[in-house]
Amino acid sequence: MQKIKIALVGQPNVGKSMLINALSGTNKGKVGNYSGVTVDTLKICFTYNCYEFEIYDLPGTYSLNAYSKEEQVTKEFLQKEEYDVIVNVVDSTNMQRNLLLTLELLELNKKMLVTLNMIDEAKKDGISIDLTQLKKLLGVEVVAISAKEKEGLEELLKKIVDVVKNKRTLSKIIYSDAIEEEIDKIEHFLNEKNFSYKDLTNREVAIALLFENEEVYKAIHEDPIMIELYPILSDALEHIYTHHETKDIKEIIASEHAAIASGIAKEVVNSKAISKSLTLTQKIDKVLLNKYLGIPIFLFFMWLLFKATFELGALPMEYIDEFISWLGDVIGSFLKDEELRSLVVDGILGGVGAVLLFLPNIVILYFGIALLETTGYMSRVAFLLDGFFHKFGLHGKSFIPLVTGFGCSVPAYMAARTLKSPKDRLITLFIIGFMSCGARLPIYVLFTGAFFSQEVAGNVLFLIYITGALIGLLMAKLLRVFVFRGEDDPFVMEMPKYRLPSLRLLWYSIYSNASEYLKKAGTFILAASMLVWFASNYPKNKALEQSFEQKIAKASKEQKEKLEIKLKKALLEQSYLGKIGKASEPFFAPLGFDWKLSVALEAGLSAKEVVVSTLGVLYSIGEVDETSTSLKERLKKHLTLPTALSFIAFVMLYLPCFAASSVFTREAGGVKYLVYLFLFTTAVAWIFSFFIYHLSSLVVG
Amino acid sequence: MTLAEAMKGQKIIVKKINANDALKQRLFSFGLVRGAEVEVVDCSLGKSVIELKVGNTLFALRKEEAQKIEVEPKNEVIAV
Repeated sequence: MQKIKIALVGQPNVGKSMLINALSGTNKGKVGNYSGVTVDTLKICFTYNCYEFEIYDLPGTYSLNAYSKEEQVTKEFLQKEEYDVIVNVVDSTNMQRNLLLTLELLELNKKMLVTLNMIDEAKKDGISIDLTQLKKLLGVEVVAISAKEKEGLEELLKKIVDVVKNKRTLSKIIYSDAIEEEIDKIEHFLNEKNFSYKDLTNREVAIALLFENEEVYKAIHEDPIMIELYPILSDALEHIYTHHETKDIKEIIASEHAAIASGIAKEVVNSKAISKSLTLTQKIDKVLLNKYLGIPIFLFFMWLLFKATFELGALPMEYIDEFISWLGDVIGSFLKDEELRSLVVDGILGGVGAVLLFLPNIVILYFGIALLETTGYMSRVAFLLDGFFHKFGLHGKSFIPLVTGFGCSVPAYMAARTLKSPKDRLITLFIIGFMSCGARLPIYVLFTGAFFSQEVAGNVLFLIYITGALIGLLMAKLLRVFVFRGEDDPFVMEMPKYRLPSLRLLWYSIYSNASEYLKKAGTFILAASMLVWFASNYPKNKALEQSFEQKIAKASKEQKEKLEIKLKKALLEQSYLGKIGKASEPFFAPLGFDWKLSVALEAGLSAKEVVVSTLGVLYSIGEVDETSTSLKERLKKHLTLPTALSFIAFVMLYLPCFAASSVFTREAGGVKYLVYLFLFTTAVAWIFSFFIYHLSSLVVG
Repeated sequence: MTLAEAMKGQKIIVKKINANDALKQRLFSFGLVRGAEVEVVDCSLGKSVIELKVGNTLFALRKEEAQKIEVEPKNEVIAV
């Protein structure tokens, strides 16, 4: 079977990832409506008509100048990797600008095919495109498709095979007279000298020389004709400089391309009316980007999201809780062996069950984030907040990784690649952890539910997230002033058209996140819960047990119960976990945490859900009537409000989970940054918790 | 005049871009080149960020960057 290696290239937000999903029938490519959703190359393989397709979904790039880090990924792939064909994805509703990249790609002189995506949207907007004419002008094959509606995909695959099988077709692009004249001269000279380089025509070599293509320069440099070519070339460039009134060849290329793109667009695009969707977008922007209302509207949306996360999420919670209790009772009655029963009911159900309880909240939160990502609102908020962010030493674009961080820190660290300046990127990386991720949500819901009334808990939740974000901003300022001083990076960002996400896309986003959560609960959390159970039950202390049992045998009925509780407490404290907790207690004591909370926090370094499962295990072992009360009620009984607030603050600010930390290390560029991050977040968390604990203790009395 | 001085809703023509190389390239790739027609669509509070329209593309630019772009008002031909 013949293999076809395809580089999928296009400007940001033209639907490359959606196309790759549609072609392969999977959902591997993350889809959103802002530039910079894909920040790393994604490879997808499938077979079609006895051909093995290997498609590389490259991060979107406006041009091949590698402005930001993820654009560099694309540029390097195109220049250094071996591939059979470039598939250039173009947004049919914005031909002119998209053609600028197409023109640059044509100058790479590789086999290429242009795909007009979103042709359905273009039709709706009253835009028609003359494909035959476009093909004639560009010199390469053109296919119109809609990745969303899965139209034209079959034809696209067929054409790709054709392009790969046939000889490379030549670009038909004609530059301005001033440049064409010089191209002719150089081409003529090269022909006379019988020069040839790779599979390039001498016209292509001439263009590459004029446009200062390094690769061709290097090749020519070693050729004796260089001596004769040199004066011709410098003469040619001089003519072009005079004509364009600048010596910046890049600017000259840009204005050439702009003129050609506008010419082609005029010739092939026939739009009957002013773009309806663009006018609608501008109308919506009038409200959402309003000078005074814009930010309040954004805050309102966020408040609504957290309110819904708590209140709607609480509805099914009751049933899940009851179900887990019931399950514990049923299983417990079957398991006669005391040890085994404790492992299953206290360890597994106590831990995993406590985490499962929060699935509805997670689903709602991810739904909200998916809406933000797919409608096009994300870039608007970056626009609104840039002024504000700028004051804190952050870049407006930082908003995107930061909001992604409310879902999960792992993609958030990756998303920071869209920031151009390394300093902006590092500052953003350092504060992403302060944006509470979805895995911390269960802890908040548990504690706010336990210590606040149903009505205000949603608001408290919103407040927690906002506080985390504000502390993040404050820390960004400190980092900017004391650590990462440097020049500001320009803020240039496209505002995509508003789009309604398809139900399929939203469903997929919810489904994948929910199943990810369940999978984690069934594997990682399960293992962690068992480990915590083991570490809290062993080593056994026979002497202690016996001494208590003797006392219990002698005691009256009332004293018996008290002694039993005392025994369990003593046993827990001398367990492995108890010893660890006791050892770290002095560090956490000033924050009001007992050793159980300390252990839960330490266990949370592996994954934040483990905090809840650990509390679930620890607080069910010490209880006499194990399944009759929920973890929430037990916490309420054992902890005070200042301790709870202090705990929330610590969870909000301390080091993200293990998976996120390792991605952070990779993105920041070294283990030393992880050490900094650990010290930084622990210090910030400790200090804030300390203040919150003591201030709230004063208030409560 | 510079782009930063343009009023909301005003259409202008780009005369010269004095930005550094990287920014210039980025602006070029949005179609903002010498001679291009630009419309100021919106500005944020305190005019710290402005929204521009070039062709069918909407994008945002900080005031500091807008100050680096020399423009002239477009002469509207008034139909009789």
